[in-house]
Amino acid sequence: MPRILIADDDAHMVRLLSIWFRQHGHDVVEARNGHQARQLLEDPNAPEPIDLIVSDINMPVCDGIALVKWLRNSARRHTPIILLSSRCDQMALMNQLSGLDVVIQPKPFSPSRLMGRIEHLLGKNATR
Amino acid sequence: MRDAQVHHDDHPDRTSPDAPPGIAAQVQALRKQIASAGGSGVAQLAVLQELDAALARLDAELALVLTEHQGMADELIKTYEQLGIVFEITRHLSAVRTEAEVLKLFLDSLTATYHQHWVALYTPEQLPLPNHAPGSAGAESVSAWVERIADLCRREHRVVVDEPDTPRGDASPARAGRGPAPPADLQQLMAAPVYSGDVFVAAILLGRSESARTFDSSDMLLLDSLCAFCGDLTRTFRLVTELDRLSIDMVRALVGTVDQKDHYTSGHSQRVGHYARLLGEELALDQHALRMLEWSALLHDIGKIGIRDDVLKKAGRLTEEEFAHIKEHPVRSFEVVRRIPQLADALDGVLHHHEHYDGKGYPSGLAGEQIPLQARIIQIADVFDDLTSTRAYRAAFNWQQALGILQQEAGTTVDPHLVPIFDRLTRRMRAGDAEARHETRRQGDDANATAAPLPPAQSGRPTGPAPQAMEADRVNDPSPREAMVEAAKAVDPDVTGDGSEDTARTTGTARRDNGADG
Repeated sequence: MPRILIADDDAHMVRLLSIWFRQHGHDVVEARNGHQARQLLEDPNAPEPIDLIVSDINMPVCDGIALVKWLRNSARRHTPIILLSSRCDQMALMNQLSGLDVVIQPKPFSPSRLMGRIEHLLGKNATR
Repeated sequence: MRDAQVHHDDHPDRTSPDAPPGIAAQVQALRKQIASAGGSGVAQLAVLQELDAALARLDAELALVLTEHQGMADELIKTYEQLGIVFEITRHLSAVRTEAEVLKLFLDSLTATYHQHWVALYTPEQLPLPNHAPGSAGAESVSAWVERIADLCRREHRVVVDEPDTPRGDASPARAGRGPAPPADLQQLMAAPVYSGDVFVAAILLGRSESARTFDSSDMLLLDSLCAFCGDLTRTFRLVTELDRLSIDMVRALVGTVDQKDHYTSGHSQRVGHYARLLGEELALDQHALRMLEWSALLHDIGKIGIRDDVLKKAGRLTEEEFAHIKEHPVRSFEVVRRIPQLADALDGVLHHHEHYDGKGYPSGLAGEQIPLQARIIQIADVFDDLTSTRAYRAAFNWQQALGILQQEAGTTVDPHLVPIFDRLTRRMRAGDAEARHETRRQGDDANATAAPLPPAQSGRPTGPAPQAMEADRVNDPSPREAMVEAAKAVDPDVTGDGSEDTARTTGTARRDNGADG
């Protein structure tokens, strides 16, 4: 069962996405910011590795962009990551994330659309 | 027996802040009971039994709360879904240019959401007429059923959900090919109409097979909202297209009135617009350039409204003063069109359509590539229409003769690079089929390319002719018009070039041979 890490400081969004992903047969771990996400990703005692990350951009301590940059240099560099971005982030994102392997999902998004992209990324990665 | 007291002071004296009030009260009451329980085993047992029962009640309530919670989460997710789709469509709207693209955008969006379903569109032409009887006796084929449901949603202006209740028969041959072909194993169909105001545009259908879950009210709501949104957008597109068509039709009509001051020039501007547009398309100009070219060509002679009738219609030779007066018309046209900010990109052709490739034109004496392309295109079209039209002083040339004259004038009056292109397209046009092709392309263009409104005004436009002296002595030079008649004779000895043998008349009335005058 694929494991998805959700990182967002908005507790309601985390809860909602968690329910949605579980309904679709995925296991979910939750983080409130990029720092917690990193801890979860690096946790040696984790029963299963994390297969995909869905992260908001604006989070305290460590935001989504920093998370991606760290991720692509870490041992977990091949983990697919989707960043949820609000409209005003768009331009800044293009600059900061150029060259990095990351998927941007604008908000508001349709959950089924997001799920489609997740399945696609998980499917692609499974062949690695 | 020692008191089996629960060390309740280790726990905060309240429940989680998220717990519903009823539960909080129950837990409070229980804790008080535990705290006040006496030391005897019997009393403690009673408390434990009470606890047990209370926990069971709490458990049941919690289950209810969780179910509610789950239900609300589902509702929230569905709402997010609808919102997300609407926003996704809106994000893509800026790239949409035609009504067909609007429908496609909605269909694509629906297909992405319902990726395991059958998604289809029924246009008005594909639906049965009102008094059409349903299919033959016996099992209704899948296609017939789908068609019937699509028609039903159209007639009743609402979302329809239906299952086939007759056993599936084979698709009846009469039905095949009318609309999109549905899969044979459709278990349920949902259909909603797209209306632009009162006009039916299309029916959008969603079909599921056995393996997918049943359509519920949120599916219906989603399809309904999308079709309503789609209908509103289509209506806006149609309004804009109509407005655009209205403005261009209005200009054609008004421009026609100027042409009609002299009945020899009636229809001239429209024809020049037509030829210019064809040449522009042949040159693969982009949509904006084509539109501006057409506007420019339509309006190039609007300034003639300020030219005195006696001069405009004079059959004999023009005096120097009269000729100078005629030569004002590009500037006059320019002054008119300059007032319309959206037509800033149409000014070049209006002002410079009488420049000559060799620099001996007016008003600015521009030469070669200095002359804006728009002007060079209109000039060729202008000359061609003039040559192929009857004038007071001569009969019309036929199109072959006119092309020959253009060849002779290449490099002096007209652009030598454009002449062969115009020649090629004119021959193709006259071969017969191009007229029909142009008509359909025109209609298609009206519906599609003119859906965009006139562009916003731009700054930095030419403010007028260069302050060079107008070539007032031009009128004394031997008219290139004479040379053109000679050239035409070289091509076709039967050419007379005018209604009479009076070549002096030909020379003197050079002023109306737009682009060919001295």
